[in-house]
Amino acid sequence: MGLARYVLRRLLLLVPVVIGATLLIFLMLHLAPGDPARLILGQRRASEETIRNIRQIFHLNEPLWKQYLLWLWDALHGDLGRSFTFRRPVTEMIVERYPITLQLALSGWLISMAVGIPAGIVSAVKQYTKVDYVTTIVALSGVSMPVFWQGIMLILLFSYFLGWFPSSGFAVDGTVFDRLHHLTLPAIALGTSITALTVRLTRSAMLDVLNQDYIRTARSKGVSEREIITGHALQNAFLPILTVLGMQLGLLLAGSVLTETVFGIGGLGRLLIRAVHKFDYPTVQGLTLVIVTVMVFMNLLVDVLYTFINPKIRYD
Amino acid sequence: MTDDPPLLDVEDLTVHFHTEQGTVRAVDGVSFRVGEREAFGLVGESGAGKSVTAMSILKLIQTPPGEIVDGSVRFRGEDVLSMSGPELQRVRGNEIGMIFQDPEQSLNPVHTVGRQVAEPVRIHRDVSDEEAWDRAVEMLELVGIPDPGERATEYPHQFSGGMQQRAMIAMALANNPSLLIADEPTTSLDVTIEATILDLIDRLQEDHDMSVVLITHDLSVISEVCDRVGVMYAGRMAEVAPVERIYDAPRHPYTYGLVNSIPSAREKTDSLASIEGQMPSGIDPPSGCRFHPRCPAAMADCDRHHPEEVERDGGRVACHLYPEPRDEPGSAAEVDPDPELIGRLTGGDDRAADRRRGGAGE
Amino acid sequence: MHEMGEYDRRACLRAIGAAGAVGVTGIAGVSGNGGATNDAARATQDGSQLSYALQESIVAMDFALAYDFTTNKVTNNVWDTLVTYTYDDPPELTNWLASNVETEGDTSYVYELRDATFHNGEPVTAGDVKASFERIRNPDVASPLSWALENVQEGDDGIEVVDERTVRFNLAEQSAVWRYMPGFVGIGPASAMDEHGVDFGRNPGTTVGSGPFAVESWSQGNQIELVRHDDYWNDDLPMADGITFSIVPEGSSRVTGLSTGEHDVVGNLPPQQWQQVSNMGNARIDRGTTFLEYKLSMQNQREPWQSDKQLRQALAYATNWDQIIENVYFGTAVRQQGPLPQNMRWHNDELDLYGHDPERAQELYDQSGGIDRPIEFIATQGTQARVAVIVQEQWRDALGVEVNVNQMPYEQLLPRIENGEYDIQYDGWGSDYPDPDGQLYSQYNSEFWPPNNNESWYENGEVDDLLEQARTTTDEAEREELYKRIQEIVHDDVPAIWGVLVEQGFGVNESLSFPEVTPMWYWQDVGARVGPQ
Repeated sequence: MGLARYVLRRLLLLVPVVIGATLLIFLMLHLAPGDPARLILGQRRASEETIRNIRQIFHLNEPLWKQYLLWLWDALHGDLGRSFTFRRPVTEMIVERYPITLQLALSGWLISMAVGIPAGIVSAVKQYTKVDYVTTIVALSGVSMPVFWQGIMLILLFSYFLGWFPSSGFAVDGTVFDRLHHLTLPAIALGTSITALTVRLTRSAMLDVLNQDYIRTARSKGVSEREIITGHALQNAFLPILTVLGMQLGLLLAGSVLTETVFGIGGLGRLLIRAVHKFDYPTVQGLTLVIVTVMVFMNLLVDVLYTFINPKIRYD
Repeated sequence: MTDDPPLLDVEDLTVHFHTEQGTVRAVDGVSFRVGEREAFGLVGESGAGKSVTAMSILKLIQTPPGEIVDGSVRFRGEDVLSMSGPELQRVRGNEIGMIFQDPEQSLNPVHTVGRQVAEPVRIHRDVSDEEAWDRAVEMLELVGIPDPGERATEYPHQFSGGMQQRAMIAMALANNPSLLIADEPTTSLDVTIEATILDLIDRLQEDHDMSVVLITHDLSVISEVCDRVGVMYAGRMAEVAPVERIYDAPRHPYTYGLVNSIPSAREKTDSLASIEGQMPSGIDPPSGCRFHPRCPAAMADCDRHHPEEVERDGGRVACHLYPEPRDEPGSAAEVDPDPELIGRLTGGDDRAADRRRGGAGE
Repeated sequence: MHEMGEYDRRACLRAIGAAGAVGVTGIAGVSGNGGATNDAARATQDGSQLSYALQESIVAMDFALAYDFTTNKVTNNVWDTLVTYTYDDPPELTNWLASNVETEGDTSYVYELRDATFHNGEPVTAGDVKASFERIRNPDVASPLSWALENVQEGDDGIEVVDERTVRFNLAEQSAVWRYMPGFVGIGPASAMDEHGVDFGRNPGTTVGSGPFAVESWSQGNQIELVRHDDYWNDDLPMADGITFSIVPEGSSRVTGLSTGEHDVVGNLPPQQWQQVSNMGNARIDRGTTFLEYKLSMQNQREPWQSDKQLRQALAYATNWDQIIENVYFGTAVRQQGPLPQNMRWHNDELDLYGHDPERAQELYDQSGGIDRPIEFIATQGTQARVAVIVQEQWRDALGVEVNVNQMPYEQLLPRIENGEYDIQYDGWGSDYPDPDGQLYSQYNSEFWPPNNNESWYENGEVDDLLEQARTTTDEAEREELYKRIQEIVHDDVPAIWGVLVEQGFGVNESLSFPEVTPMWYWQDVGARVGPQ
């Protein structure tokens, strides 16, 4: 079948994309000034022997091409090497933190969808009315409000003054209620930060669709306005929305540095920022691989979903 | 005709579009009537206001930017323009069906053709989904789509342009409307398909005892289907007349030019007689008769007063060549200008009669 | 040890800091009546489970990798060391897991173990001690602490198991400072270290220790739960039933957590926020001066620094540290009195310090050869750059000397330092043990030029000899004399302009007792000594 072959072809394309991305990151890291063995140890008192040992353990004595091939070969076997900082297998760290990032990303994403799509629809349907202006202004202020500032405001209001939610942390082993309790504020902060885009995108996609001839046809058939929006416009407008929603989710799944930082959640975003900051090359490299792969899969998923939303799109 | 009101009575329709460049007077006091089982053609260059007029009949003008500022559209005596949403929805797709210029754009790409044809049935009749579907298949068969049961499950992009327009017709007629509004139904189709679609409309009109308002910029299309025709220019009705009379003896200089611009199938002419100049924009139309800057027969009065419509030869015409009958004695006896005079004035040779049924239809 | 006091965040995190100030202002505005109490998260009042907010996630639950301000605050509670430091000022070395320490000859130290058990119930034996120290020496572990054992004889004989409860360390050469080294090495069970190999303490579930708390759960980057070690040999400790460490990178979030009662103890507070906590009502700052010193190091192998002492001295007199303490450290640092921190023993109190004295500076500058080119000051963003800009202005005002502040990321700064390509830079150093050796040997020994820690590229043969002598002799009186002399020489040479000693502060819930914050805070079992008052 066409679709299956298309998916296979896209998956094969993943190979050069991943190699390209990781090689690029590898070169950027290793061609930067500074001796990684010393950077790993920071400015701590360290003996020459320790530095030699570090070079040995992390293959830093090998030529660059060999270092990369060693890494690639291990990566093919699911081994992303060991973190310079934490000295743990990078794979294990990612597996450990991924569920956290996933929960945060999904809940933020769902909030953004639940708020953004209806708001965008209303804004489009009521174009140039007060409802539209108010929605646009709220959406714009969402964009211009930095997520960390918003996070701190949420913490002040809901943790400090009202005491409804904890100000930080993530109940990794907690009950579902515990986890939701901890996740609420960060999910709102994260969701709001991307909702504005969803609103504007939905609005413009809906406006575009509502100006299409087939909407006029539907009206000429006596279809009610409500049914025109839900039955005729939305599915058509969903195509561009889906593209961006997929990209948003892909980006969120790479970890949300600011939200994780403000709310003290140990997801992939914070791991990445620390790895970059501490010159933890294997972790940066491993996360790059995961992020790129997830993005490629998200795009593929979106493309496959296209075929269900729009029968015109076929991958033959 | 009885004392009953005509099926469709458009009176003094005035539609404006508010744009950044200014207010466009797209339709400016247009009136016409369509009787039962009558096929009425609305012809004119693009931008003349035909489509806006057609849309206004079903109140499909998008507001904003459009606004119906004046006039009435009575369908069986009821004013469509003052109807509420639900009342309008009862008329649309039920008593009045409509098809559009570009069938590909006019069909929803994400719904099956069957679903779209069944939709008006589902909305307006108390039927199950299966019954609506069966009706859709029946309609598709009626409009000549082969293997309709199978093709109903397909999507619009799997149909050819002609088949798409047939599906549109099936959709518009699914509830046996009394009036079909066809807005340039063949413009985007190639000529061979155009003929079959026009034949289909013609046949269905007779079979279903319905009236048709056919909008086109192509007079030859009118001649295929219509009984009477209204010629629009720059948002105004220039002339309304039985279709034979329009060809044989156009009264309005613009109609004359229009008729002369039909390429003859019999004579291979190397010059296409057409009207010089362009139709003015609706934002700042010329004073007086809007046609006067292009009119070869323009007179002193033409740029001052808008000519009133007067009854002439079974039709109506708005031109200063045909002054309003005055109450003074003798004025009514004034003789109309001879068609040949108009022909000479407008600089064309009188080939109008030969042009009947000219063009692609034959 | 090193200069991690300044946490050089990336651009986006700095932005958070800016917003943090907004948040904190908000808190300050309402601190009178306080915010809502978060009952769900609150744990202190019954004194059972402490909640402690860390700035960043720990490196590992492995004593062999524990060598930073954050990790050690957790691991020190999980592993006991043979010796440790008292909470006095200055802190003294004291026996801990070792009940007795004896020297045999000049180069052997014998430690006798007290009766203690690991968290898994096994007794602490000499074999475990050997295994733990060997772990630090294991090249596959590549422990950053291996420097501490450099003086132990190589091979299996270096660390000898004498009997079940006795272990002997044989040194390569006599040392005055060896006695401090076992204070850095946690003692874990050989059985667990054998089982997990290098991964011991690095993956969750692989940590077994001997300290007052055992690891209950550990989710890296999120939360660490420690519970009381019931069989702990010291009945007075720990004071709480457990500690839950959470990782809250954003300073203002930690402060908010402290005010809502979600956190009982908060470390690594940005200096700007100490006052905020003090005003909170339900919390206080417990603070103490550390050994962590910061100085302006000149490149003394480069001209004009190498041969122009008057120039170096002139710049020292032209520097106003009070301004830096106020504007960069917000009052959370003190002026260092000479080359050795004044809170360390054998500090020479008789030195004529380089105070802020523009007239004297001008006088000396006139006597010097001066400098006819701009001085290149290399600095990373943050504290270093802020100090550089202040110094730039001070020297311009006092002497008309031009300073070029060259800002660069750390990975570019590091090779510049290693290659000596700079005039001035601002670096920090803090000894790991309460002995002048820890402060002076690395910084002023000419064998320790970068990439080691003599970052002023100082070279003085007499100082080299004296430092070596003071390190190897064990006669206390002699050592005192040597170190006072060293301070005198170095102070006169002024290879660097000594600046500040930074303070360490903890935000603590008002209802809790907290131990003295000593200069050795970072190697001490602070968490075990926090409890209800």
